[in-house]
Amino acid sequence: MQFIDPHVHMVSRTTDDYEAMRAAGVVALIEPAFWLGQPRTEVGTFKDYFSTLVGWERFRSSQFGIRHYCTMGLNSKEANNEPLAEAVMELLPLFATKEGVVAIGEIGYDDQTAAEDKYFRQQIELAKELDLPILIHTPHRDKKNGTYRSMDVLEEHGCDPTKVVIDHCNEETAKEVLDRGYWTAFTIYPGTKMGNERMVDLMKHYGPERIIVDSSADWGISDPLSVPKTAALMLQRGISEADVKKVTYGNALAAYGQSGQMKESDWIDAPDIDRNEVFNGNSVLRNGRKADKIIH
Amino acid sequence: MNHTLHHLLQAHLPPEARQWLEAKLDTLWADFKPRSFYLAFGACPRFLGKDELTFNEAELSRLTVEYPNFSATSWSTDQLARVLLMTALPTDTNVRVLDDLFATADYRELIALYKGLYFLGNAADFVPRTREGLRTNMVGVFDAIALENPYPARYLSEDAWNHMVLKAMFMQRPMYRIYRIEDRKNAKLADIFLDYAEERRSAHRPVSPELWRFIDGFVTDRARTALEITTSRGTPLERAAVEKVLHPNADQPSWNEIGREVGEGEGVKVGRG
Repeated sequence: MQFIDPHVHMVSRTTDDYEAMRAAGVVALIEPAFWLGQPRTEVGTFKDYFSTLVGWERFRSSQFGIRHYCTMGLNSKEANNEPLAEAVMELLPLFATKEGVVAIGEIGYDDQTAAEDKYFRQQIELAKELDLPILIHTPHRDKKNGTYRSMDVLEEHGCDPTKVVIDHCNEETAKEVLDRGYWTAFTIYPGTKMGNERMVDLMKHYGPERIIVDSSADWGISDPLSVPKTAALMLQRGISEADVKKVTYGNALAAYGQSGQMKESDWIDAPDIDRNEVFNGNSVLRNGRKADKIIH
Repeated sequence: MNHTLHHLLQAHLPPEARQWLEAKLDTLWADFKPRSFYLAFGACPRFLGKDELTFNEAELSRLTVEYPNFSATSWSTDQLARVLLMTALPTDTNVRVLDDLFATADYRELIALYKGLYFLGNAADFVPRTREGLRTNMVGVFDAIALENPYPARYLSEDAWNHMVLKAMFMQRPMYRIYRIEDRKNAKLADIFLDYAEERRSAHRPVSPELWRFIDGFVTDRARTALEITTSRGTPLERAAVEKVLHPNADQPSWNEIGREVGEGEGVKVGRG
């Protein structure tokens, strides 16, 4: 089977991860702009991070035969540094219109402060102006209120829920998010948030419509193979292949494809590389190793 | 603005795309703002598409006057439109405006930017930018500067040129596709490549047959020793290359033919560049 991991922070991952993901069937991924663990204090580090997402990381991914997309946004945690946030907001229009940018995100709330609210709303307006989907990060603390509040604000701004993905949902928030018409995404983290078993139960309860599975693998304990592993467990537990495909491939493509920046043909029609064109020097593929496919 | 490019794009774009591009050019013309330029530049693939353009003989000869070797690479619609937008920038500020764009550009934008520099009225002002670009590890970006592009041969100093050629070898790029590779050979470069060949031999690793092209015309005693060792130990293509340096005659393949053959399969593996 082929998979899309629609939420994974590859800048924090190794080439072993890329290889394992490709071997497990991941053909495309989306890397949302987020925080890096260490808070940034200068706008220049944001600029270079955003450039990395559309430049080097896209290239790195292509060397392993995985098509790389990203989302652009000022995350809620760093929105609390207001002078910095102002400068980042000025940068965003430049990056949000780059090729392969499939949404504004991850945006939303962390501590649900006034500053977070201000930049969340400004970025909703930016997404509307550019006609891009939105990826919402729901907070880990006070999750239920934070999730409901995010949807209230989106609706206040007149957003169409079919153009919004609400991520990091759980058993407590899923029903409301689905009922209100949003794409409902679940992050499968080993040990925390959602585990694969819980995801299987949720699928059995709600079915596959508008449900998306992702890994959100980053610099913390996380698993870049969450999507294929969850798919395997779903199949093992008797969920049909068509339904598994929806939640691990089709729904993400439908949601983010609304950007006009992500098409199945991007990876299906990617030309096989001429093996002699593969670059084995100072790239990520050192010492004569070959990629099977390079996708730009 | 480059009028040749402008006319060609007008002739090749469908009406809707042409109107979009004209509107963007008018905006830049009427009241130049970097932000309008950045947004137009970024949006070219969305509004113009990415199809490869095909030109007739007359068009190509006009383009070649302004950009030697133009026909050696393919040009997509968005790429050439981006180049046209670059040429619409006032030359007194284009270094600053483009520097900001280079610093935030995506992969495809970088390729268009580097391929387009030669078209600029003040192309010589972009030597530091080109040298910075050559430090990339993204192959497509490196190739956009180093292969078939007339910019390096015309504007890079000997040292900068040598660095580029050496890196191309380390990156296993097809050396024969570097524009004017033959004209800009030099004794210093021959020496560096000879050091490299010796280093590889000590490590029991092969070198590209194309390496000997850079020794051809600079055969010192040290070079002769290295060449003779290859005569006895090399692959057939290496031996053909070495023979060409030591005993040139009209029946031997050209360096470009040897380069193409390397590209087709000899597949030399090299280490880190």
